[in-house]
This record gives sequence, C-alpha cells and structure tokens, in this order.
Amino acid sequence: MTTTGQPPETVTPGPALLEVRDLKKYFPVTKGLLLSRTTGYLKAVDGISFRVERGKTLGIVGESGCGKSTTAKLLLMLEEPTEGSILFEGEDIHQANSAQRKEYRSSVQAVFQDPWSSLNPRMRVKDLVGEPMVINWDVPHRQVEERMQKLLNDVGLSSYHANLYPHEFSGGQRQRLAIARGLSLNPKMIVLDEPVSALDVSIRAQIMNLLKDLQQEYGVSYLLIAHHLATVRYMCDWVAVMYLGQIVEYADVKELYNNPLHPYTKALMSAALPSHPDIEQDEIILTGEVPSPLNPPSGCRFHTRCPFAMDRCSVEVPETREIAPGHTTSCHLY
Amino acid sequence: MTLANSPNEVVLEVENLCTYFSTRWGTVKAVDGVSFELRRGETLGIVGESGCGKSVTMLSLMRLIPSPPGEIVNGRIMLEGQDLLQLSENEMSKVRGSQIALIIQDPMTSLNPVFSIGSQVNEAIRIHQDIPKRSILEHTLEVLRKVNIPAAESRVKDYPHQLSGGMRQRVVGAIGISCEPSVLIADEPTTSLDVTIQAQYLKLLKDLQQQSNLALIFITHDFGVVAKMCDRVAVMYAGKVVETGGVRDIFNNPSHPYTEALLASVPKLEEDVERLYAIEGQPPALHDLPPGCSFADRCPYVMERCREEYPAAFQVSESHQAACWRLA
Repeated sequence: MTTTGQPPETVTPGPALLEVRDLKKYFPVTKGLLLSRTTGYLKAVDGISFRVERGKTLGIVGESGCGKSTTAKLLLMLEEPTEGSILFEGEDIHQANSAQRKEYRSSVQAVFQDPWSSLNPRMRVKDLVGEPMVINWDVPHRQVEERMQKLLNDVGLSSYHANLYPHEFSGGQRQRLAIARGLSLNPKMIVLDEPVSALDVSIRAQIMNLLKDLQQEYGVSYLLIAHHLATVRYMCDWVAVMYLGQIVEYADVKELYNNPLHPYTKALMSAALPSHPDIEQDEIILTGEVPSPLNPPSGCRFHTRCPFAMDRCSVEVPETREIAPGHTTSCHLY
Repeated sequence: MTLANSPNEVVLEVENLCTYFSTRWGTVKAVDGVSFELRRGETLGIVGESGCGKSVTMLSLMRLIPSPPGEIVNGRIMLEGQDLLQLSENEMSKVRGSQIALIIQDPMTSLNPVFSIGSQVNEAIRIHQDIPKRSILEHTLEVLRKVNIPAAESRVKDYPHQLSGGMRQRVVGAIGISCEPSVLIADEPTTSLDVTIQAQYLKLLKDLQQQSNLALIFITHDFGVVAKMCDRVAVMYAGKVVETGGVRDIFNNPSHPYTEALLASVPKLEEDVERLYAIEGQPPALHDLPPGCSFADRCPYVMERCREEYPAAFQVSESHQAACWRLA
C-alpha cells in the first residue's frame, strides 16, 4: 500500500527492538450459517509500519475503530496477521520456530485498560504475579517468591499484599498488580492498552509516573495505546496517529504536538480539551463519525470528514511523505 | 413564562444539602453540607473523583436517592422559588423532567432498548405538556433536530441499538431538553465518547444553552471539560465542597491544596510536563471520616489544626472561597 508510513530514521544504531512492516489484518465477513461464504473483509489494520526503540515509548492514538487494539493483538500474537511482518530484534516472529515464538511471547507483555476484568478474581496476588514465572521459567519456588516480593515493592505495594485477592484492592492498586504481572518475566516490551483511562484522576498521575520510573529502572520499551492526547504527550517519545486502519501521521512527540500536519491530527488536537480556560483552540470540529471499516471511503480515507478535502482526495490514495526529518504524513496537501 | 425573567436571576439555590446512607459499616455521609447557587445561562462545573459525592448531589437535586438506604437529612433545594425537598412525590414528578432535567453518563444503559427513540423522547412531552396527540410527532422531530440528529424523520422510529454512541448520547440530550427545563444537569455526559464526538457534543450543549438561556450543571472529573465549558466551579472532596470560584479563579489561583494537586496531576496538551504531581494515597472511606479536614492525610501542607477541626470556608476573593486552614 502506498499509504504505509516509512519508519523514521532513528538515533540508536542497529535494528530496532521491534519493527512492523506493512502489517495488515483483514477479518472476513461471512453470510449464511451452514454454507457460509465470505462477502467482504473488514480491514481493521491496513498496511501499517512503525518501530519501537529500546527503552522508548511509542504511542498509537486514534478514535475507537481505528485499529489500535487490533494492532496490539497482532503484536501480542493473539491474532495472526493477514500480511506483513513483525520483526523482533531483527527476526521475523512469524518465520520463527516454536521455541523462539515462546521466547517472544515472554518478552512482550501486556497491561490492559480495565484492572477489574484483567485479573482473575480467584487467584491470590502471589499467584497472579508469580504465575508467568512458574510457567515460563524453570526456577525453584523460593526464587519466584523473592522476585514476586521485589516486583510488588517496585510497583509500590507491600509484601503483605501477596496473600490478598484482587477484590481487596482499589482500582489504582489493581493496575499496579497488572503492571507487576506484566514485568514479572523481565520483558523487553510492554503493550499498554489504555492503562490509565479507567482510573481516577489523582490515581492516573501515580500510575503514569510509576510506568515512567519502571521504564528507567528496567529499560523496557512501551507501546502505548491511548485516545487521550495529553497522556500521550506526557508518556511517549514517538507517536503514530491512526485513522481507519492506517497510520496517517508519524513523528516524534515534540514535533507532532508543535507542528501537526495531517488534517485529522489537527482536528484531534483541536477537539482535545484545553488545560486552561484562556487557551484559544482552533475550531476544527469534525462532522459525522468514523466511517465503517467494512467499506472505507475511496482515495484518502479521511476525505469524507476532512475540512480541506479537494477533488483528488476522493480518487487518489495519498502517498506517505517525509515532510521533516522523521516526520511523515499521508496527505495531498503536502 | 421563564423567558420574561431577568437573564441573571438565580434559578437554583442549594443550601447545606446533606445526604446520608445507612450501611452496615455505619452512616456514609455521601453529601455533607453542600451549598451553591446557579444563575440562568450559567454553567457550573462540579468536579471531583469517584466517591466524592458529585453524583449523589445530582441525584439529590432530582430527588432520586433510593430510600432506604439513602436519605436527604438536611438542607434546602430552591428551584425557581420552591423548595424541592418540601414537595410531595406527586408534585416532584411534575417538576422532574419539566423544570429540572438530567443527562446521564452512559447512553447504553439510560435508553430503553425496547422502545423507539421517538417514543422515549416524547415520553416527557406527553407527561408534562398538554398538547394534542397529532402534534406530538412534530414536537419530537423538532427536539431531535435541535440536537442535530440527521434525517430525524426516519430516525424517530429507530431503536437505540441502531444508533452509534454519539447519536445515542444526543438522544439522551434530546430527552433532557424536550420540555425546556430551566436547569439541566449533565453527569459526565462525554466520558464514553470519542474525542471528536465529545467536541461535537460539548458544542451542541453550548449552543442549546445559548438558545434558551439554560442553566447547566456539569458533573465531571475532567478539568479539560471544566476549562472548555464552565463559568463557575465547585470542587468536591469526600462529600464536601472544598473550593468554589469562577473558572479563572480556580485555574489561576487554586487555593485549596486538593484543587492545586488535581490541576498539577493532569498532563497538559499544550506543553511538556517534566513530571506530574501525584497525590499520595487514596480518598478516605466516607463512613469513617477523620474529625478534621478529610484531605489532611494526603495534603503536603498539613498542619496540626487540620487534623482537629474542619476548616471553615474562607473568602479568597469576592467570587472565590476555599475551605482550608492555610487561608485563616
């Protein structure tokens, strides 16, 4: 696809920790019960490329239905891609043998949005946090116990919490547990799917700071999926803006927030809420809603809602261009 | 008619509202001495975290507190000159929906899935207004057009599941304004919406407010919504209003440590923040509040006096009050 974002040049030498090339995931849409036939494809992710550097955070922003969560599932190998490749430390994970795949799975962990449903209510904290180590590592029980205690301390909980059940914790503490569990295998990357949006305002800052501190300490990379632009600005080094399964703009965080190029990015920024009543925002209020990915608009997928749409936008798919070093966007305006 | 009244008149005055719940752990003082007033055409934001009592305040205003276990034990709610707490249940149902209306957070659960949206929107009209049957449809369409539902004529027979989330929230808004209330309470109306849809909805509410000089109460945990929408703000913590003031008073000169901390803990869209301020600990349990200031345990400026006595509200400026001993 021409709309594929070229990964920007990076500062760190050598292969990125994770590199995604032209990744696609189409879900078949079927009709009929017994003799079902495929009538079309839902293009949830349609040709995206990006890279995640060691110890850095990449943010993926977009509205619901833009394919952010499918991207996360593809990276976690919970879904098989239709096309494209995921390179982890230079190796294509879908070409790898089962031992390598197992290793990949333990190197890439996840923390989900809702700590009420992502922790098994029947397991004690020590089992929740220790389970990944028991399954993946052949180490004596005492070592698991020790590491579990250290992890609990690292995420700001105490050793006495080890015997409790998840319902005995508040939302923020549960998210800390989920993070401890995510860290237990010493992963190289954690996929954070809206990690703070279910939490209270004063707790969000605690969790965001904790995630930043842990990144420093463990050197782990994050892939942060979020819709709240201010959160992304605080947490991320690089940002990819997604719309209907494609990356429309990709830049480092400073560049993107100071100089947004794509009309969709601009509209998102102007729709985001200001941090002070005196801040004047551009009034780009998008009309309508995100079109169905079952039948995406022709040409540029954003042209149905774009305030700057021209004739060629509905016909021609815009190419991805590098406007400034490391800042790419797909729009006919540039 | 309400329009004949002066534009800045106080339409809602809440005085020392106390709503308690009896539970097996003791009495939970969910709302404890809340006072504020609201003028026509004004937007008041009630800000706080979950469990601070903002939703119970709203339910008390509508007299929808489930009783038992809840009870409004004290206070006055003066809506256009009548005390809602003195009304009988029958009289209250006449007020509810017609003079004071509510938009609830989650449009998935606040709409009834087995009725068409048209019948849900005109339910309030049928109950409260004496208009002939044949003009009800006309009236319903007018309300749906007001909230920018495209092709209202064909949408009116749709059921909630046929609409998107943003559309559903508009329908809930349409129900709220269907009888042209003087006070509209919006309880986190945009938290379940996407950013661009949220922007559309907030703009819609502003337009509606300007058209009919509506008094709006916005219940939210998001200071961004406050910055965008509100004229005045009341910050709640553990069942009490800890600070009130004009929206600029609050943002430029937050005088209660809780407000200050909350503002410092939110990442900013417009600038880089090196490190967010994180408020330590958790909000206290409402059935077992400490005798002094409920924020004392999390407050960076805590003094001895804070733990002994609840601070009175001190005047910071003419329009700005905060309950903190540092201002004494």
